Amino acid sequence: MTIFELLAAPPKVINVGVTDFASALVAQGAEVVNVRWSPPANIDPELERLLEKLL
Amino acid sequence: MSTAVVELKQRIDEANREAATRLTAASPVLVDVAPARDVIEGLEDRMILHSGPPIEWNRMCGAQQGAVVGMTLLEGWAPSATDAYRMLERGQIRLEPAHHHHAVGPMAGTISPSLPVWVVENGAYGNRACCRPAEERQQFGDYGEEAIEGLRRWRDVLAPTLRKAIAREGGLNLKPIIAKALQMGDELHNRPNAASSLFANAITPSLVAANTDQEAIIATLQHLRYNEFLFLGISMASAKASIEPADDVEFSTMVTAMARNGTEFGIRVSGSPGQWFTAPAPKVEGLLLPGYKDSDAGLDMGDSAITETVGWGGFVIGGAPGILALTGGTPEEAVSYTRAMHEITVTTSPDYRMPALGFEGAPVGIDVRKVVKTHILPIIDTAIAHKDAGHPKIGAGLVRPPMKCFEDAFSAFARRHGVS
Amino acid sequence: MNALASACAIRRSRYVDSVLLMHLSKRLSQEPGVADAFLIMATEANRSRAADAGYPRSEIDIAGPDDLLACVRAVSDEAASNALQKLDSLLDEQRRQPTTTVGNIDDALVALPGARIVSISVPGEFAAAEASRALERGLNVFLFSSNVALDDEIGLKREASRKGLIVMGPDCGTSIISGVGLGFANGVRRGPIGVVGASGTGIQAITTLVHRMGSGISHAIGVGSRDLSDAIGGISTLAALDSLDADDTTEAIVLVAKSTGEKSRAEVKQRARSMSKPVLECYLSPGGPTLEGTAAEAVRISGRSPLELELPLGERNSTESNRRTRSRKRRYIRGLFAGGTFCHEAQAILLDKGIEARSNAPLLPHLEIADPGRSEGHTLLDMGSEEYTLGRPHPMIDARARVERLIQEGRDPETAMLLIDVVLGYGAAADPAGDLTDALQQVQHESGGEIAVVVSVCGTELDPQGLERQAKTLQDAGALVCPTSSAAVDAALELAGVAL
Repeated sequence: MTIFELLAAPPKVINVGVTDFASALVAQGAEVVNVRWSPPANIDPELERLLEKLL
Repeated sequence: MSTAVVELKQRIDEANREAATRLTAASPVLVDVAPARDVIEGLEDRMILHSGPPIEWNRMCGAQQGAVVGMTLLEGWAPSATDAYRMLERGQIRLEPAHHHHAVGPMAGTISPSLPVWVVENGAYGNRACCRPAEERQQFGDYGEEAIEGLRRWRDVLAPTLRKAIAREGGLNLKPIIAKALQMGDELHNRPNAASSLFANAITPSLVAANTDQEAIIATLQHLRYNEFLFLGISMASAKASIEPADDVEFSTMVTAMARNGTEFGIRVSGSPGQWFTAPAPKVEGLLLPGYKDSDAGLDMGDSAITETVGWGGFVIGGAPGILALTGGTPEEAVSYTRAMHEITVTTSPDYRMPALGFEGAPVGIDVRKVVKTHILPIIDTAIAHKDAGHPKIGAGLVRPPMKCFEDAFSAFARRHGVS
Repeated sequence: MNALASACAIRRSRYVDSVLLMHLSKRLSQEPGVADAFLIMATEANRSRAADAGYPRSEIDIAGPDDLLACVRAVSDEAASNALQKLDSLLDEQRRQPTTTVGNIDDALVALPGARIVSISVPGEFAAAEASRALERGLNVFLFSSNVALDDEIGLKREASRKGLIVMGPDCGTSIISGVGLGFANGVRRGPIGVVGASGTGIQAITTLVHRMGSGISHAIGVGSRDLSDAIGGISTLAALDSLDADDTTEAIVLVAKSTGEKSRAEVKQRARSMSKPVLECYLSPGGPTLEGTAAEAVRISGRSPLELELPLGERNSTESNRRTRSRKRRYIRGLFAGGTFCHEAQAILLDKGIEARSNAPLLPHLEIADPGRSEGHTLLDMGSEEYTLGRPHPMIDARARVERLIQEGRDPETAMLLIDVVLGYGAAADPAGDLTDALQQVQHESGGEIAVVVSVCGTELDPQGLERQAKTLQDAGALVCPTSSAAVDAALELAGVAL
């Protein structure tokens, strides 16, 4: 979906982060899907090491 | 990377493949419904089995205590609830996990000697497992007269009638019922409705032919008609019978039990036989029936997560999106949950291909390594009990096990095999 | 139970399934003053449960097994009946689909095949990874997040370039694609003017002005605040220009930016010359065109006459009537801006008149304010900057920081006038003007009416807040409301006795 194609029609949006932005898009009649985002997990470095050997 | 480590990884993968193969080869057959004392090994007099990992009376949650009191009354070991509580406080009744006796039970999961339980045989390996009947009152901690009367009815009228029917069938093959039900939008845990109907359909001819007491026949048919959750007891016994042969495979990191008693959540792993890895039971996120509020809810409870352990329940929620209404979700979200489970499982089901996922096989066999690596926890859908004794079911929702169980299991596995 | 008021409502022959009933009970129980809510299909068994729960039989038994019965217990009769009034709209709401939420971008693509763009507003340190994921899957990126590392921005934009995609951002507040606003955007009609902006409020200003002048916007493409630095080289700007050049609905293009590197500016100029459509560059430098001037020029180029931008606020709203007797000590303009671009424009206009104002975002290095917490002389502040937000939301959403500073300036005996921008649109606060009125009145009161408050409103009548309503609210609070940001600066200067 190049930028030229992007401009050709109203965008369908994947929203990652602040859900208010998704609501604003819905309010404008746009099609939206929200991605539930959370910071990447902090794995215990000890477990990280074991994982490298066992997985 | 040393050869030893490479070899160990290979051994683990091979072991997991072996464990998963045993699981997917299972062929559950309903062979009996009989008093627990006759079919459960090691169930002695003055003993009650319960759900989840081992726990003593005084650490049991209110609802599970209420359920234990209920069974005490059913057995006639005490004339009143007060007396029952006293007996239990004095340690006059032994309490053991159902899981230690090739058995499982939903919610409080209490099994006492006279209670008829479903008996399922795994045709592929010949082993058997049992599950108590699923109902809406006593297993949630209600020990009132109505609740106990319901169990008496099961014991004295309904189960014996069904028993004759099953015997006449020569055992009822469950695999086709399960396969059809999954395709009909069931997930066999909180949505076993289609399976219950299919079971009723299948058993009715033998029910009528094998019994002469017309009132009992009608009562049993009514029970089948009005009990959408009936099949949960059968699916749990099937799951337990299916997974047990996959236990005790050396080097396997596949989960063979997930079970909760309302106080703790415990898992068992094939390569660490006999060990429980526990953590405090989590809170269930979901909806409560009118009249109940958040502060009434008990913590996660029941052996019913055995369904997720074999790849049903929350794992196939993508094919049973109706359940997601419990937390206000959409069908696309349901698919998303199932997809996520693919990241933490050993294999996919050769039998259940999910239309909603482009006919991909359902995710089967939880690998503790993958859970620790991805931080994706198994998704379980479950009912909610009150935190205190004396109440029926109060709601339903979704829950995830504590990460600690998987981290502990993984560390223990590493230690066992000399990896540090 | 006696202390609470209860009320019941019946919806005849209205079947609602048990799971939905649980939902509705939970929602109603969250209404103000409600202790609990009990929604059931009124079968005999359920009616008994309601009675056991303490609701009066006289009300319960009116309902039959096919009826929906809603019972509520609250702190007062009023609270109970108010809650029950919500019942019908709640029942209706359930019919609408909630916004689907999934766990990752691949599931999002399954849920919304044909998705063209990913809007990313996660904390800056994680934003580049998310943007990368989007580009990998052939999706354009609207990157609202700020504090993305320069190297990451370069990497993302090069990758985008290779794939014919665009990264709008980082630190991109606004875009409007085919009439749909991303981030903080205003309601504007479609039309022939395309906008490329390295500044969110710059885009908001141009698009709203073009709309108010009677024309419209084809697309407004944000490129991020750093795009035109020499380090980035205008990658997104050039891509945006190319795309607007190829776009059938665009006839003229406005490029708005606060700061540019020399090389980037030269490249942009060159690209603009080679394009088939006219490009108006607005860099808000002293002596250069204002936002209003640029918008008007763009409308003219596309063949229309820009409409007059008067706000119909009546006589009271003139600089003459707002001139007050002031003590001589009051000499300085204090600007508190939610939009960084408006702060920049104001500085440029003042500099053109030979007036130097201090700022936390200065046009010239020597004009940097020594202590952001204390104004000195003429001071124009970008209140959206980190030193003022301090973990609170941006002033376009949350007025608290500006309110505090307003009152502080109001108590400063050297303050002659306050210069404020109010920004409307999707994503902005529900009532930005209303959020300021108490503070404005307090300032008037404490200064004995000696401080003039000059306000401009960036928005349109299509915005959820409504341009005229917001302007009226501000006027009623004693402010002089000007049609544009540059008009506000001119008015402030006139009030200060500076010849325009």
